[in-house]
Amino acid sequence: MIFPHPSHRNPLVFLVISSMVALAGCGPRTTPEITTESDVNRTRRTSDDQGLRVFGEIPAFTLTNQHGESFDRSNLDGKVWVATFIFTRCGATCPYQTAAFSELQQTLHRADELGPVELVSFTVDPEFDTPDVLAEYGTKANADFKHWHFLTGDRSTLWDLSKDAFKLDVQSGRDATNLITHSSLFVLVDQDSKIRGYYEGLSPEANEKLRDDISALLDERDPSRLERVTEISVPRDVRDPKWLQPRAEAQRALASGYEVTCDFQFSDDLSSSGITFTDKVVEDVKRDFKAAHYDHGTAVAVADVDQDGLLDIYFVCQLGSNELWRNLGGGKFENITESAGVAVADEVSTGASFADVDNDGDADLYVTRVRAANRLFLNDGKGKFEDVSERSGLDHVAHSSGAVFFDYDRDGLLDVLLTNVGKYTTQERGPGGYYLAYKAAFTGHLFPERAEPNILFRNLGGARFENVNDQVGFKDASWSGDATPIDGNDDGWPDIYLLSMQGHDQYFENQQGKGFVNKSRELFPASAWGSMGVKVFDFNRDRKLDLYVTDMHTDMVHDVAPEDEKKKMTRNLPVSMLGTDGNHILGNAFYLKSESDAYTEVSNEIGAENYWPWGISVADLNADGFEDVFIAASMSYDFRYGINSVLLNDHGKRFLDSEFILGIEPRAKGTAQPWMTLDCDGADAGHRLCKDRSGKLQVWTAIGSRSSVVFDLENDGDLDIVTNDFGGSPMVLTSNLTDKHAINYLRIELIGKQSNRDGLGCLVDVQLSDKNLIAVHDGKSGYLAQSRMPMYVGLGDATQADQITVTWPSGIVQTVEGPIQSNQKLTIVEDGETTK
Amino acid sequence: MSRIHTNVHFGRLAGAGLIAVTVAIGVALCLQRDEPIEQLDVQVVASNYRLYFHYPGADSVLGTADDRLGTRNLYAPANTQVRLNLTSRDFVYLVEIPEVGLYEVAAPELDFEARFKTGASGVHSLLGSQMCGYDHSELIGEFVVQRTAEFKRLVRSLSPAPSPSHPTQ
Repeated sequence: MIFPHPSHRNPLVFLVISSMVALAGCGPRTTPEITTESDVNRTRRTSDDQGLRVFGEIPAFTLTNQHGESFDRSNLDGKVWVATFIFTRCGATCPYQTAAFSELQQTLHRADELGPVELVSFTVDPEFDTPDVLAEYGTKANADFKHWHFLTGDRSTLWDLSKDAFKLDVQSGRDATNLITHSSLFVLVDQDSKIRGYYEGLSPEANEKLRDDISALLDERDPSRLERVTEISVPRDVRDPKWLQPRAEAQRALASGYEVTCDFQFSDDLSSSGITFTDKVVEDVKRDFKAAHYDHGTAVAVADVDQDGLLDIYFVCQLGSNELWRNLGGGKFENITESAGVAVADEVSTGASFADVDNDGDADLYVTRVRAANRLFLNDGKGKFEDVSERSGLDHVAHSSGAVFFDYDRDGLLDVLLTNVGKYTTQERGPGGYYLAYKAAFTGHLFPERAEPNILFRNLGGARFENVNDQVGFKDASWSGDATPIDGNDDGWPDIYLLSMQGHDQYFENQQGKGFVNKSRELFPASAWGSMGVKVFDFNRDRKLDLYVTDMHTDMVHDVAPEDEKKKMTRNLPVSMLGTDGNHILGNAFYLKSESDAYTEVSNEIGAENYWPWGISVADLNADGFEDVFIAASMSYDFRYGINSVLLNDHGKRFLDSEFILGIEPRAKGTAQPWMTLDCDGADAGHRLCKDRSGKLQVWTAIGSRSSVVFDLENDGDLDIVTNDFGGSPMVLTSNLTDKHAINYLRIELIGKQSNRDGLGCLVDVQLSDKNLIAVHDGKSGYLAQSRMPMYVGLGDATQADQITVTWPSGIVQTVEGPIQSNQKLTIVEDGETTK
Repeated sequence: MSRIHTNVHFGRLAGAGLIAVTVAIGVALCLQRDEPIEQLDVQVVASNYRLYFHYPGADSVLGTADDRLGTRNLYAPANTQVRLNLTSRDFVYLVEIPEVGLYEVAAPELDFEARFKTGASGVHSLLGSQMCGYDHSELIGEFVVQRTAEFKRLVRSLSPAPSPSHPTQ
């Protein structure tokens, strides 16, 4: 290293150099350095109380810069500048002066103040320091020559300038070529060429004072600067990640080899949709990212709340009002939150589940919250909701997360499994009233007292529920955010697969509605440690329902380069932190079902890995008869940008990465968003991003999705995607599949009679000439959410189905005989008519 | 001249003898000082994006008034069984010394123990990071394995540790 860049901040180095200077000066070791400005305090040249004094004025001068060009004082007119005197042969103070200038240059550059502020290094050894020598010297110091000038010229001019104008002595012994003593001070000059301060160039404290005084001068020169907003990106490339385009091109290049339908596009139609929802997040994840569960975001769910045949969208806002947007058709929406009465604006909301809890034929709504009573709303059938939380028994208070409605005892009433994360917050409240998270919230699972039980509520009828954990032996306190019913042993009774975001997932076998037995490690000896999203579906059309689990927390163990995102993590957290036997899959898990109670983990073999995943939405995006996956992914402040993933199902053999091919990435709205504005002169002065900065600072950070829902938003036959993006605006991604292709699909609405009204838990088998398409109706699409919507079955090339068999939770097996023409909606009533 | 020569000769002999004795004593002292320390206990406390290391002082017992405190770099004598007790005063930190296979967490209100044996003298990487946080250069340091005598000297040169009941800065 040519210049001892950081060491001048080292007090020891400062002392050593100062001693050297005091004893020897710069050049001859026997000549003491002399500085003449005896009236000036060396470390504090200005008075905070009196503002910046005027010490004198710099007269006009004409010298030569490092490029051999004439440079006179007028080049600096109107600017604030900092001067110092050095010479390149100097071995004592000069390298440290120049290193400090170099650092000052960087600081000014970061603050966007290089330009309004210039740096000038005058040589005191002009015979040796020719322009070429100075240019080489400046280059080694990484000088930006547009704003850092190295000046030489006639010795008498330079020395007179130092002594008479700057009042800094300079002397030489008998050998004038290298025995030069000069000052190591920095001099601050204002826009009128007046000297406003002196600072010891070797003192870190004095340099900080210089920095402050520069800001004061800039403010004095331009008072409007105080209101100026400087934009920064965190990380620096977040608005234009260099890896994104090559990755997009690489993926698009693969598309020609894909044997799946992928020549269609999604476009973000948020602006034309009329939706203006914006998620607002708590300060724990906004101003200073705290690794806590608030960064998991909030849900988006859909249901036809007013029964007009169009699916409406409910966005959950972390801190503020949730919003219900009524689908007007044609991709347009209107905000009906107020009239619907589902804002839930107080406290922190998390999840949203639509289900018909009272079997009256409409979509009721359950909203989960953090340390506030969860809310159950009954729908009047027209989109007006009544809060029945208290009398329902579902007004549980915890750090609640996803709620999953299903009928565990098959009595025709929808029960609900409420997942609760665990106590990740303190007693202290932050701005907006939320509870501050622990600084080490992700160790919560190691503290038994912080666990919160996940609760199975049985529906008693009349929208009343009771906690039956003890009754059915469902004992679990995993740090869970979501769960799914799954019939692992194919006995027709819904078992439970419960995610743990800090530990092993849990599997509970249903004992015919009378109890649950934990068989977690028997069926799933290795599970992901940080599970987030889950879906049960038939990946390879072998008539067995497989299980896909996404894992976010393991992806936080170490950094992964963008090109390695499809690989598993190389290691997990230390076992002491895991709090388990350590037998984990290092990322997403995909369990292919082979027979009852038998699963094989194949995530690597089929390409199910991605990076920073949250929830998943499984649906046949290209209507080819194989279920595809949308994974809401990525982090937000202060992480790098991460992509959402689309995995197209290649005929049940593997997943094909397709987010760039389908236009979902890069996001039309960009990779970053304005995240916060800091007042670096005020309340945020201590923020780490305000270091070396003043004024207002607008911070741009990565956009990141959390929850998603896939449904036919426009009723045009293809599937669209709506996301809830963390701390920002959602995406309304509409597909043009039906514009490009004549597709075949069926929509199937189920109406239970003996079974629950929504038909949740139905196993639907659509028989085509060459295969059976089975799916379980569970309403799950995306993280933290449950939607109430018809099933969508892509038929591929088949224009008709031969038969549809529905196995209802009641046990009734109902057959709808074919041929059943594609591209229609079937309403199948349990043990009754089928309407086409 | 002769007398002078004799004196010089005698002086040379005496000097050589003195040097020999000094070297012998030095070697003996060194050998005595380099008696291996069988086990070293170190308390590792993460706080405000730094790692602090509490070493036992002259009494060789950790948690007493003569404990010494270092930061950033961890020192240990060669060929010694080291037992680290890790905790944190704020966030969760990962602490890693690849050379000895150490990979552990320092977390608030929790104590994690890690054991490893040092090899020969050498300087290795000590990698600390705030879990899910941004980079902190202060958490990156060195794991320095020293001869016993050097280690003891190093520990003596460290500042006294705060009260064992409040073992952070």
